[in-house]
Amino acid sequence: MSDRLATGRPAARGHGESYGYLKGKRVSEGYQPGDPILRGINLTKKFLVGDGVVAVREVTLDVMPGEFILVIGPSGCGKSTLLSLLGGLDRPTGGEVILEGRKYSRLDENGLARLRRTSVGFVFQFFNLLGDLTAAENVALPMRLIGLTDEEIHRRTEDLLGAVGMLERANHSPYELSGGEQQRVAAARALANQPKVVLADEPTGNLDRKNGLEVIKLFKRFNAERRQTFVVVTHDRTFAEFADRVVHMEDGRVIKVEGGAA
Amino acid sequence: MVGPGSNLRANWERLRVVRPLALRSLRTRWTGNGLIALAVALSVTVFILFSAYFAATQQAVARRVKPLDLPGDLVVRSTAPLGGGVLTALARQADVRTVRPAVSARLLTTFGETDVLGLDPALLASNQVTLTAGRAPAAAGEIMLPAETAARAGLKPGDVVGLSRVADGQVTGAQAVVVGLGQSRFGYFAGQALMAADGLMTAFALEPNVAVVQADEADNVFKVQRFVENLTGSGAATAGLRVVTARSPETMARSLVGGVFSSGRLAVLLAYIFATLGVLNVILLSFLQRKRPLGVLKALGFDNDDLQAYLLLEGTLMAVIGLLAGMIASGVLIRAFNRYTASSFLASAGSVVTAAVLSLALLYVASWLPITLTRRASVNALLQNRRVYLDSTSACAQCGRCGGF
Repeated sequence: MSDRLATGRPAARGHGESYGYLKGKRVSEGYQPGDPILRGINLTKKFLVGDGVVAVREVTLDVMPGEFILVIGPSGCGKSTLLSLLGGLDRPTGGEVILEGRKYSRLDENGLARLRRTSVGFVFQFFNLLGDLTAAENVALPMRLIGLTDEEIHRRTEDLLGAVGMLERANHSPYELSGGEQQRVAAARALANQPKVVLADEPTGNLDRKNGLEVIKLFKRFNAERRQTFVVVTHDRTFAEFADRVVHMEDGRVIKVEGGAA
Repeated sequence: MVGPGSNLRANWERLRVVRPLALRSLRTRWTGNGLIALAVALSVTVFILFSAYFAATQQAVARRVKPLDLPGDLVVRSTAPLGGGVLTALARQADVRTVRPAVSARLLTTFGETDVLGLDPALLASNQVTLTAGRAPAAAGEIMLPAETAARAGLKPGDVVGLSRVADGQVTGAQAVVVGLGQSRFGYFAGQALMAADGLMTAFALEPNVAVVQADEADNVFKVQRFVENLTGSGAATAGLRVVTARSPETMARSLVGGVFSSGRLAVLLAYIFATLGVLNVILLSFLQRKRPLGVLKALGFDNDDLQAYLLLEGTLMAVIGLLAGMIASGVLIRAFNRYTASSFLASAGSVVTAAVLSLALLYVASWLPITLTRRASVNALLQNRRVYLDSTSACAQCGRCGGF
């Protein structure tokens, strides 16, 4: 992509920064309050393995601000790939993703990185905490990226770790934490920069039933208290009761949407 | 506004973010990082040692190529006594200005078996011999030793040494006072003890077997050489006669010592190539083991320049540690070599600075591949520990059947 980049803008940090953009094209399409905060339009992702595997086929999904969406489907149905496309972790083969009016296809790699830095939080199945850092340092890292002061970072870290019930273990290495504890720290990290959207890929997949339920409840609490938008991918249908909408996927397509409008 | 100031500020901010990560990484991955430091340290040590050796050798060569390295314009040597005929014939040669008889003998001494050269005191007093202590022998019973030989034997000016020679079953002995120490690792005087010719011949009943000849003009040296060679061919001279000039094979062979420098430089180059490959291997391995954490950093919003800064900072810290270790190691080795061996090493600030520059260059060359792979890999490829490619957009890269990292 780098050969298609526009002029090198400074890599400003913090909110209100430039996201980097492709030459001659506007990134923002005039986002208005009340519009879907995140839109996936005709998303297709094809992997050239063997004769070619289509992981996601022309999926369209609008996510409204403050919504809690559950994406459910059997293993290999493309739900994690869809989440990657929505979060800008991967580029679609076809279609477009728009976050608050910003089209991903018009952002270069660094622009996408800056978008993830400020507007998207991720929670992964395998927690993906950085083993070199303590729980508190893991939570603080995204805040360092946007250039917050040490005092602000400290205050927010304490607040977040307190909110997920991990303040007591702030200085522990991830290796010293249980799976459930690690996932709670990962949730705190995802929320560190107060992103517009939090994307969680099988956050309960590596946890027992009790811990899994706690994590989903935690997400729901943040969703309710902080009006943060959540898109959670899971294969566990029992979490459907927490969602505003449940999107069912199969064979790379959305086959059914329960609650709200697709 | 984009300008040097804003770029500097952005890079400073970047460094502020990645510095704690790099420092923590050094602590947690000390084995792999230690290997990088070790490779750098080894290459720095080899470089500084060779540089120090070159410096000492080049200094010696500078001495060797002085015109007065030979005691005369040419030296006639023989395995047997020259006999008066040769000396007389040479003296009568129109193109010869002076002929001085000299003698060379292999003697047993208190400091080991050595070659002793007996020369005219006038030649010994001239600046043809580099003195490091004392003075040149001026009379019988005085000897001048190579400084390295004296250092090994613990001798100094004023000490008395014993000399002996076995000939025809008879042992002849003598004593000599060390009056001076000299330094000549190359050339005609290399490794030889020097005495006054008369004293040496008298002490051991030797006949002259060396003649030091000076031509009347520099252009006539070749004529004199041809004259001596004709003497040999006519049978007028003793067998084993040979002529040493500044251009004779013996002298030329010594000049080939310079070739050693080339192979030494090749060794340094090879050391750096192997070190680069070693560092590349370790950095690449470290990258392969860290695909997922690097993917996490990307997912959290680290852009490619942040990641490049992180990997380079980590490597640079290792290179600096390796550089310091290499400098200390080479310093210790140079001191040890100079103290316990006959070798001479001269370390210079220039070689240390060059080693530092080369080490950083080595690191950046070795870092290019992992950094490029990290920059070009998609976040998902890193997070899922999939193979990554230099050209991640190619069909081949997505297929995954053609290698990758």
